[in-house]
Amino acid sequence: MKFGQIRKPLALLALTALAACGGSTAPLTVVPTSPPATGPAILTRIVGVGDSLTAGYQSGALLGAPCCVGAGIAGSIPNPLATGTAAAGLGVTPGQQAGFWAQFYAQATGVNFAFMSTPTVSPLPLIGGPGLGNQIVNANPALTGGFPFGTLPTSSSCSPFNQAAFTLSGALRTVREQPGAGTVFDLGVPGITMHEAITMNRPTSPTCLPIPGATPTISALQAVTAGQSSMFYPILGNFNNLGANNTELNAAVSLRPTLATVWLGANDLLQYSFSGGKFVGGNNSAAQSQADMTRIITALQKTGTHVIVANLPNILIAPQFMSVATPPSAAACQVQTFLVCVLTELGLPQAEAAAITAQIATQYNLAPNGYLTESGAILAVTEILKGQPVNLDPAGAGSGLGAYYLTPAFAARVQSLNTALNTGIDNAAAATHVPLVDVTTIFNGIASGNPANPYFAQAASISPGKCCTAAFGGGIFSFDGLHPSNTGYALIANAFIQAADTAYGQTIGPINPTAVYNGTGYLPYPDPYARH
Amino acid sequence: MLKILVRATALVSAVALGCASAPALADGTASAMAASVVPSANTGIKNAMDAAAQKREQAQQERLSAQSTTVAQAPPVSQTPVGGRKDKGLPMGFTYQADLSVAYPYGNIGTFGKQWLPGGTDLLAAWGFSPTTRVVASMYQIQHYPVGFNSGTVPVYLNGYQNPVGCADLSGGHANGCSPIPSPINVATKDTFGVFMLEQLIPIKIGSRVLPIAVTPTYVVRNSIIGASQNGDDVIPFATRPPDATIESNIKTRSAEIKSIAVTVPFLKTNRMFGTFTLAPSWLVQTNGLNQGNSAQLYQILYLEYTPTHRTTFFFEPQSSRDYLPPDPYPQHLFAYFLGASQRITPITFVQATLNSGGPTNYSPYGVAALYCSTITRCAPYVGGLKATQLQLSFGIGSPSVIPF
Repeated sequence: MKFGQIRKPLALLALTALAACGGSTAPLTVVPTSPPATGPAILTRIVGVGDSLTAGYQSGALLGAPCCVGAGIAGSIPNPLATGTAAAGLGVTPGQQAGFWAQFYAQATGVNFAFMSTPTVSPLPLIGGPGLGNQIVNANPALTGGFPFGTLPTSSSCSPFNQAAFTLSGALRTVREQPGAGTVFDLGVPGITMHEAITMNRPTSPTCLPIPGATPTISALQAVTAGQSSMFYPILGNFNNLGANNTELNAAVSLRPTLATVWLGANDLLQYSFSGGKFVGGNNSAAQSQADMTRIITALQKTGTHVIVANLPNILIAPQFMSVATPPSAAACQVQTFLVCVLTELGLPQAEAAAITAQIATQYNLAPNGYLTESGAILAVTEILKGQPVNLDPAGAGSGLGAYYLTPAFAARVQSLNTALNTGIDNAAAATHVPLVDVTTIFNGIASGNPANPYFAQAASISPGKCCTAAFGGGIFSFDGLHPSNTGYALIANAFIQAADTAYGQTIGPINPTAVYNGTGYLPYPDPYARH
Repeated sequence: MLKILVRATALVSAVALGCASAPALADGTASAMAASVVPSANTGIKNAMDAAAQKREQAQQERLSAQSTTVAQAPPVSQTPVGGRKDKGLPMGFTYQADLSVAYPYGNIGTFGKQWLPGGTDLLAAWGFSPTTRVVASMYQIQHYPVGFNSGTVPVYLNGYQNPVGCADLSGGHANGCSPIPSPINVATKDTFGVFMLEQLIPIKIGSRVLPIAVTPTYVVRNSIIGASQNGDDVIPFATRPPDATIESNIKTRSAEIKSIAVTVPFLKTNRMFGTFTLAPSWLVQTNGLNQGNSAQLYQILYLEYTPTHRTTFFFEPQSSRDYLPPDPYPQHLFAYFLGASQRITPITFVQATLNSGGPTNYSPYGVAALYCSTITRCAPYVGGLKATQLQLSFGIGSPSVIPF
């Protein structure tokens, strides 16, 4: 439960996502497409192409089985957010069934939670407990450096369970709940980049253990690729008969989908951001992302697949990134993530929180609008509670850039890359005449705090005064500050549903996000990441 | 978390590269032909032209003798292999040649190869059936160390990423903030060519004169050893073009067999100068590796020599060729030249110094262009064009010839 240990999980395991919320009845920005109304026939084989967002990653792990009831980390406490709900006392709830694609699939096909959780029939590559990654669970703040959550000790990032995922046999027999299932249609590989979806055909790193003789710098490279390397075979192991062609795209094409959701690019952005700009290997221009996205779309279209594409949210509005700016108003703390607000919520007096924020901002040149990452905030709080000086550059000056903090200049570069990737995705969608789910607009709306904005209004209306906003603890995101909560995923699923209905003449109809929040709909338990 | 990611990537890549030298994409199979087909054809052509000239002069002398006039006749400038009989064309009977050579590489090749390379042994044996027909079997060994293989910094690609994820300093330093490779790359390469020829000298009458041309069906067997190969051969990993390259690790990267038909035509013949031009369409005997096409490649070799004394010859031999080795997705357009001098020490021994240089015009940059990793522990070089410049010294018996780099 040392939060120092979740630096990597938060920065790497949770690398991917962030997305949207919105759903609702608000009008979506949808690019008109091919003639609508092919009718329900296109819902017979729905395939998800993407990353952790498509996979249903939450709180630092990918998990399809109920897990760890009564366990949790030492000193874990009942979920304070679920007090008084049916979720009180629950252990770790599965996230795969709560992901946007799973909710979209269930809503489109009419299957229920039990179906999605049954290994022999589920379209999800169900992952057994304690989950791949390093599960973040509710915990005693006294043991977690002041934060109300910590990592599950039985799911360390390089446990035997995680290590097994690096091999084909280990992934299918040990990690997966249904090793031989031919029903898997959710092909989202957490950590994968847009280009990797086209080219990656096996794990890039052979192990999560230190490579013999490897220097610390080699270990850093391992860390970058550990996510998609450990997640590759558990997701795509059933397609290994494709041999060297076993890429996520080829696997999807081999399924000959009737409808495919494509949502990629977040890891190109996040790997750049969390490495402080040192990692520039991903798609880094509008032209590149357009080329890759076009290649993906057209490959699917050649099989007759109807495609829906989504762009990326502006990641800096996710609670993973805590602004050191002074919030313009007290209400702003409820809709966006400010470090001073987070520290206050953790129990620090307002003045002390402001002083600490100012000190950190000065020390690391973050003023006026830089950020601490969630990992950076956890590290800082831990050091403060221990009475130690805050040191966010543990390996020397500047070493914490990206991992722990974002200077204004670097944040601007991240934003610029974010915009470039979205330009490429948007252009690809337009050029190939597929509907675009404009996640950028949806998230910007939710984070706007503007009651007149339909996306904010809908999110805020789910449980007025309690849920939901994009702020830290606001209910849209899970504990890792990047991947959505159940409710957040439901809003995203609704955006895809609206795209299918609008562009392809379907009549799926929206998911009721309030039912997801309350656990009275497809998901039979209340959202563990939202206040109740 | 990822603070020195860029350097890390390069370092990891370099680990693998250290155990696998870079293959040269091309290094002039045409040069081996230039060293075998051309000199042999030249010898026959010169002899034939000398014989014709002698015949004309003899006739003229006979005419002039009646007028009591004499003209000194310059000795033939050609140097022939030892043995056999000087004839009207190709040497008759048994001829042979042997030499040993060493070479010193020039250019920005880094530190590892900056040393004298034992060039090897060249052997030739031939049997002339007639002045117009001869069979030749020869072996040429050459060593070289190409430019660009362990100097400078190169980008490092990782499978699945569009852009380089780091860089490596092939010279072992920290230039441009790149990671040094842990050990030098030994890409010193020893090529052994076996050349088998059936020479045919064809006299073509042009007016009152005869122009001898040589037609030489040739079979070239090439075997190579690359220094860093773990198996004493030339099977070393190489990557196809990044960023979506695959690593090939079981292909003999330089060994190949080629069949060719060379046609050598003289264009210059004076007492002290001689020149020929050789055209040689060639085909791979079998495709291998990436070179799955097998259209004809054309070798073009120009030869000019100046013989100030009967013991000394200066020569210049530019050539343009299309080389096609297993790591080549398409043929390399090689341009090279040989500039040298040979000195006959005794009637059967010689010493020859040759400066040769060449490189492709359609592959860029030279040498290792990038490191490519299919995983973080499995990397191989992506190789651009091969360029080499070196000085070669040969000591032998028989006739010297242009020795390829």
